[in-house]
Amino acid sequence: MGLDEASRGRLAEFIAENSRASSVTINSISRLTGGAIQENYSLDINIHGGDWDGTHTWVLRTDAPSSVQVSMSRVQEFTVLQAAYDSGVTVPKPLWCCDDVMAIGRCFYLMQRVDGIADARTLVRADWNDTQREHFVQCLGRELAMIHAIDVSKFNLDFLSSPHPSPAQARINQYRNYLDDLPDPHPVLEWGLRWLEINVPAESVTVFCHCDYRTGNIMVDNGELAGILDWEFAGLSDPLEDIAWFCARCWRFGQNHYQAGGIGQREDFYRAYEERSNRIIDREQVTYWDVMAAVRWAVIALQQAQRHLSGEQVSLELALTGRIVPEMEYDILQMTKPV
Amino acid sequence: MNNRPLGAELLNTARETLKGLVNDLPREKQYEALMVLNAMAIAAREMTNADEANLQLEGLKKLYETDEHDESSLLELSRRLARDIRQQKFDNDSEAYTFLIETATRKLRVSNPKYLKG
Repeated sequence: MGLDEASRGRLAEFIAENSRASSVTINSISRLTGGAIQENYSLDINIHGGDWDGTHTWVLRTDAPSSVQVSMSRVQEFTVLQAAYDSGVTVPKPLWCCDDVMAIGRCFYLMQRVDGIADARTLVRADWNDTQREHFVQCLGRELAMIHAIDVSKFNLDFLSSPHPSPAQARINQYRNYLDDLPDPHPVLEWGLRWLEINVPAESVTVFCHCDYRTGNIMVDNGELAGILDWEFAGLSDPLEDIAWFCARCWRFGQNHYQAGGIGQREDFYRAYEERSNRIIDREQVTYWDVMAAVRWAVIALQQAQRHLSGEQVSLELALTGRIVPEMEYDILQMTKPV
Repeated sequence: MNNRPLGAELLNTARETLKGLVNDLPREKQYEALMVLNAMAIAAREMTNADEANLQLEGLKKLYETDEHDESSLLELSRRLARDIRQQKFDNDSEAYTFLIETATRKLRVSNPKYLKG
């Protein structure tokens, strides 16, 4: 990691102070894969004395050095993770957050490391039988219901603003703004956004949402859920947005017949969610959010391709992401035929 | 005209060669090689569908009923369509929809033809 001796020393001091230890030794720091905007490092440490006496493997999460402010700050993300943890959601236990940039040069927080696999392609191709699939997507349905039950007023989550004038219209406005920042016009996405505007749900509920709940952000260990990751997009929205995002075709990673995240059946996921949340999922309205999910992923894909095209981050993976946009465009048009 | 094999043919032959090498690469490098194969396949298909820009331009001119002297570029007309859709001028319009779905389908045949099979 780009941590000099002095920063390492200050990190050890920070841990010692918060764990009331007599001494802390950092044995190794290694960068974990994934995350262009945030960086994750695995820390192996020995703690002597205090509340955490012993050997630990923790994760340090911080901003990438050149990151632009596109999501919440690490302090806010830590608060969200703490709220999720305290509400019983399966997440890595958050430890401490350091907003003093003097410590290691950037704001960071520490959490316990959970074992398992998050890689989406590995997960959807895993050898599950039907019962395991049903069990697992039910577990994810219940977990999402618990996320949506997080009581915002109980935690310091005032920085999450209420979507205005409605969750759907707020998203439409946001995605139009994103499109306006791109150099080329995108008539199909404009078509999708206009359709979404015409069909904005008359009524909607606003709850705490993860906003990136999908295969790829779910850590699985031996077929069991080990942790929900990547809370940086969390916010207040319509619960159906998370439900549709989880079931979107782009997150099935080729396993199209398993509509719930490429892992299991949509209805199994829905039923478990409904039982836990005591809320009935309006199937028709999920279709509306299916269109929103396709538009969202298309806009993100265009932004990623633009990072490559502008020279900011030359990458074949980002370049190819630009060429998957026709997939979402095709899906959007299939779902929004003129009546 | 260049000598055969033409660009797309060369790319396809190069892909076949690279495919034979993928399994010899260390596991962590195989994903990158697969991305290279995918990029080459898209480029090869794009070279054999070189009239895409013309098809889009023709489609847009038809949609806007421009006359033969109109010299608007594809970019200008695409921008106009994007703006007009947002400004509610094509709500539920089946001609605009037909143009969009035909274009999206052709683009998909280049970038990922398997997708159309569901």
